[in-house]
Amino acid sequence: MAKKKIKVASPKTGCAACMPNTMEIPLGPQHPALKEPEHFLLEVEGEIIVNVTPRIGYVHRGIEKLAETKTYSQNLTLVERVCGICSHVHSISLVNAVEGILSKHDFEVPERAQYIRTIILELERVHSHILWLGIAAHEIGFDTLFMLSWRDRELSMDLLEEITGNRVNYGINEIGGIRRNMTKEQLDKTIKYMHLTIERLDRYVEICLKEDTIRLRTQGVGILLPSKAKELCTCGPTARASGLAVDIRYDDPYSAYKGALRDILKVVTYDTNDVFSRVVVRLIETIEACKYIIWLVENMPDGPVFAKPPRKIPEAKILSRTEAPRGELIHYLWSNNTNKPYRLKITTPTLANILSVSEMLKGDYIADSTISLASIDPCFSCEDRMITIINKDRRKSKVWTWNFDQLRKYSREWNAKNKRWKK
Amino acid sequence: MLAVWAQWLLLILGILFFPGIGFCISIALFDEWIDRKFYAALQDRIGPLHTGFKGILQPLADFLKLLANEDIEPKAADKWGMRIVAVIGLTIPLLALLFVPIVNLSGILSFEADLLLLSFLTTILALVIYLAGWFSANRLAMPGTMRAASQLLSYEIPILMAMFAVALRTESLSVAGIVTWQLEHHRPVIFSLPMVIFFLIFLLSSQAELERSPFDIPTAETEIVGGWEVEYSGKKLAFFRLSADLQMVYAAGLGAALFLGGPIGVEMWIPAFADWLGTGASLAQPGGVMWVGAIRMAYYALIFAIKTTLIVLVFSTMKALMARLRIEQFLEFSWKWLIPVSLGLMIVTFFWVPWLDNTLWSKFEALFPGGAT
Amino acid sequence: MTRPAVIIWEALRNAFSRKKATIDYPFEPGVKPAVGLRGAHYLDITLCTGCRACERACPPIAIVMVPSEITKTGKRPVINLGECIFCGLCEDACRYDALVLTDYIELSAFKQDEMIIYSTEDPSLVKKEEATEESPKEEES
Ligand code: SF4
Ligand code: SF4
Repeated sequence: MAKKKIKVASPKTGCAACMPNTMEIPLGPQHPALKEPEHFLLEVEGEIIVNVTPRIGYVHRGIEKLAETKTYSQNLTLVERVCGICSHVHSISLVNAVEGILSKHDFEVPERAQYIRTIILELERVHSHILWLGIAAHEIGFDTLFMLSWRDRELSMDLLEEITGNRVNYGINEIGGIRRNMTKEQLDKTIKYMHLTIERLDRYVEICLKEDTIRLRTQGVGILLPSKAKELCTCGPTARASGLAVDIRYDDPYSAYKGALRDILKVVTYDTNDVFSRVVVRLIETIEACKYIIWLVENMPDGPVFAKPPRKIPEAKILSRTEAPRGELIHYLWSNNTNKPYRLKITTPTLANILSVSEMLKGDYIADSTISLASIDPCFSCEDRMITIINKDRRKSKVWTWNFDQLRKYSREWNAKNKRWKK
Repeated sequence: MLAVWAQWLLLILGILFFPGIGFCISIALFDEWIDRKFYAALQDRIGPLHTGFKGILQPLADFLKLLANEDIEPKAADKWGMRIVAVIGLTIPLLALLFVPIVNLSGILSFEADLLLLSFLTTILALVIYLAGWFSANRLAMPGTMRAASQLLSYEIPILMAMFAVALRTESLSVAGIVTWQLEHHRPVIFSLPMVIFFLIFLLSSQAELERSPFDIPTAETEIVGGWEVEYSGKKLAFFRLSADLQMVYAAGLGAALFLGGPIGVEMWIPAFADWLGTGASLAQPGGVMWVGAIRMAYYALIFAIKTTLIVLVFSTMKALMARLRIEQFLEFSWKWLIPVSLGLMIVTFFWVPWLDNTLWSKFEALFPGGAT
Repeated sequence: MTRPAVIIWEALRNAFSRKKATIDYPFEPGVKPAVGLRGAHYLDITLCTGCRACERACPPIAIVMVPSEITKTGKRPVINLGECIFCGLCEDACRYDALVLTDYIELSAFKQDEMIIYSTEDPSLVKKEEATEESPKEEES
C-alpha cells in the first residue's frame, strides 16, 4: 500500500496578512484518551496535523535509584512495578540477568521453572494484547468491542490470579526459580481457558477484518514506513507491523524459548504499515501466544522449581533483553559481589517507540491522533526518565540539573528523614 | 362549554405540566434510562441500578447532581454568552416538543405548515451548538464547533428530505395533518417501500443530529475531549445534558408522528374505537364527553411513550454497533449516499408512490374492517 | 466482504441473555478469590518469636517491629497494609509460620490508621483467639 499522506503547505507559506494559519492543540498531559500523563503538542492546520512535539518526563519515579538500596529478591518485586501490565517480563529480565551472572559459576535453573515462567510470560502477553484491543476500540469510539474484549480478558487474568496469587504484580519469580509450583488442575484449567480464549480471539479477528467502520478508521492512518521504522529504532509489534521481523524471543532466545519452543515460534509480520496492520499483528500474535501456552503445558517437564542461589552475586556487568508485549525490554545490571545491585538500568519499549509517533501523526487528521498514539501501545510511566528541559519559546521553565554528588546527598537526606513510617 | 379564561388556564397548565414541559422532561429522563440500560445490556453490562426501581431515577439524580456542581467559567470565555446559550439550548427542544402530537392528534401548539417551523428549530439548535463552542474560547472547542457546523450541512438535508417526503405523500405541511391522514387512511406512512427507506434515513440523520456514536464527531471524547462541551460544567452542562435527552425524545416523537402514526394505536384499524375516542372532550372540541377525553389523553400518551421508546431502542442499538467515523468520512457518506438516495426517492415519491400504494393497498384493505377510504 | 455493524447479533444476544458479565459487587457477594490469593495478613502471636526475618524481607518497609511482652525477643511485627504490596515475602521468610497471608481482600478503609493492623496488642484478645480461631477480619482496626 502506497503512503497516502496529504501534502500540506508549511506554516510559513501561509497568507502573511491574516493570522498564522496553524493552531496549537495540546494532547495531554491530561486527556481522556491518555491513561497516563504525557504531552504532545500538535500543530494543526484546520484538521490536519503538520508537526508534533512530544515531551516526556511527567511521571518519573526513580525506580533505578531505589533498586540500588534493595536486595535482589526485593528488587524483583520492585521492578515488577515499573509497569502495571507487563510486570512479569520485567522481573524475568532481571532474573535472567542475575542468573546469567550465576551461570558462569555453575548455577542451573530447573527446567520446569523456566517453563512456568514462560507460561506466565505468554499469559501476560495475551491479557496485555486484549487490553490493548479494548483501548484501541475505545479510542475510535467502539465501546462495545472495548467492553466485550475486556470481559474475555478476564479468563487470562483469572488464570494468572490462580497460578501466581496476584492479579497484577504476580511476584512469582525468585532468583533461581519460582515460588509456586503449578498443580495438575491448574495445568488442565490453563488448557481449557486457552482454548476458550482462542475461540473468542478468532471472533475478534473476524470482527476487525470485516467491520467497515474499524477499517475506515484504521486503514491508511498512522503510516510508518519500514525504512522509517528502522531509522527510528522501533521494536516489538510496532516494528513487526511495518514488516520488520524483529522478535527477541526468536532472535535472542531466553527462558523456555531456548528449547524446542523456538521451532514452533512464529514472528508475525504484516505489511500495510498502518494502524490496521498493528491491530492484525497484535491479534494474530495473541492467538499464537495461546498456542505456545498450550504447547508449554503439554510438554511440561517434571522436577523441582527452585534451586537455591548463593547469597552474593559475583561482580559482573550484564545486559538482558526480553520481548515484552510492547517490544524489546532491556535491563542492564552491574553487580558488585554483594546482595544488592550496584546499578540497574531499565529501558522500556515505549521509549524506543515514542519517537515514531510524531512520524506517524504528521499529515493525519486530529481525529486520528489518539488512535495513532494508542497504536504503539504506549506505557508512559514505564519509559519516563528525568530530563533537562530546554524550552525556548514558552514561559521560562525551571531547569533542574543535579550532578551525581548532589543527587546522592539529597537522597541520603531524604532517606534519613523518611526512613520508617512511624505512628 | 368552558369559559375563555378556563380554556387559557387549561392551555397554560397543559404547556407546563401534562402534555407539555413536565411530561416531556420526565419522558426524556425515562428514555435516557432506557438508553443507558439497553446500551449496557448490549455490552453485557448491568447499567444503572441503585436509584429507584432498577436505577430508573439515575438520570434525574445525575441531573440534580450536575446542578449542584461547581460552575467554572474560564477567564477568556464570553460568560454571558455561555449562560444564555445554555438556556436557549434547553428551551429550543422544549419548544419543538410542544408541536409534536402527544395526547392529541395535534400538538399543544399547532398551525398549518408547522413542519417548516420544526425544520427551522433544529437548524437553530445546531447554531446554538456552534455558538456554545465559540463562546467558550477553548482550543479543543474550536475543532468541535467546526465539526458541528460541517456536520450540520450533511445531516440536515436528509432530515428535511425525509420530512418533506412525508409531507408530499400526505399532502399536508402540518404535523397534525399528517397524523390525521394516517388515521383516515388506516395505515401509517411507513407502510410503503420508499417510506421505509426514508424512515431509515431519518433515523440515521437523527443519530447524527443528536451527536451520538457513531456520529458523535463534534463531542468525541477520546479525540477532542468533549469538543464544544469542554468548558461547560455545573448547571450549564446539566442544561445541555437535559437538552440532549429532550432532543432524543423530540427526534423519536417526530419520527413516530411522521412515519408510525404518532399517538394513534390500534384504533387505526378499528374505526368504532376511533369514533368512540373522537367523542371525548378536548380543547379543540370542548363539547365532548369529559371522561372519554381523559381516557383518550392517557391512551395517546401511553402509545406515544411506547413508540418513542422503541425508536430510542433503535437509537441505542445503533450507538453500540459501530466505531466513530471521521468527519470527512461522515461528510462523504452523507453527500455520496444519504443525499442522492433521498433525492432519488423524493422523485419516486412524487410520481409513483400514490399510484403504487393505492394499487397494492387496495388488495390489502379488504383484510381490515376499516374499509376503503 | 466488509460491512458495518458486524457485531450486531452478538450484541443483541448479550442484550437478551439474563446473565451479565458485571455484578453489583458490594451489594452482591463478589467473585470468590482464587485459592492462594494473597490478602491481608494473619499473625499468630503465640508462634511468633520476634526474629525480625519478616521485617528484613519486606521490600516496601511495611513491617516494623514494636515491643511486645509475649514473644521471645520482646518484639513483634506491626503491618501497614497501606504500604504492603502483597508480595508474600514475609510469609516465605517466617520460619515459624507465625505470619501467613489470608484470602481476606476487602481492605479499604476511611483512615490511614485503619490500614495498620496488629498495632495494639491485647493479651486477652490473644487468649480468646487461641480458643475460638477468630478470623483476622474481626481484629483489624
Ligand atoms: S518472621 Fe515470623 S517469627 Fe519472625 S518476627 Fe516475623 S512473624 Fe515473628
Ligand atoms: S506481603 Fe510483602 S509487602 Fe506485605 S508485609 Fe509481607 S513482605 Fe511486606
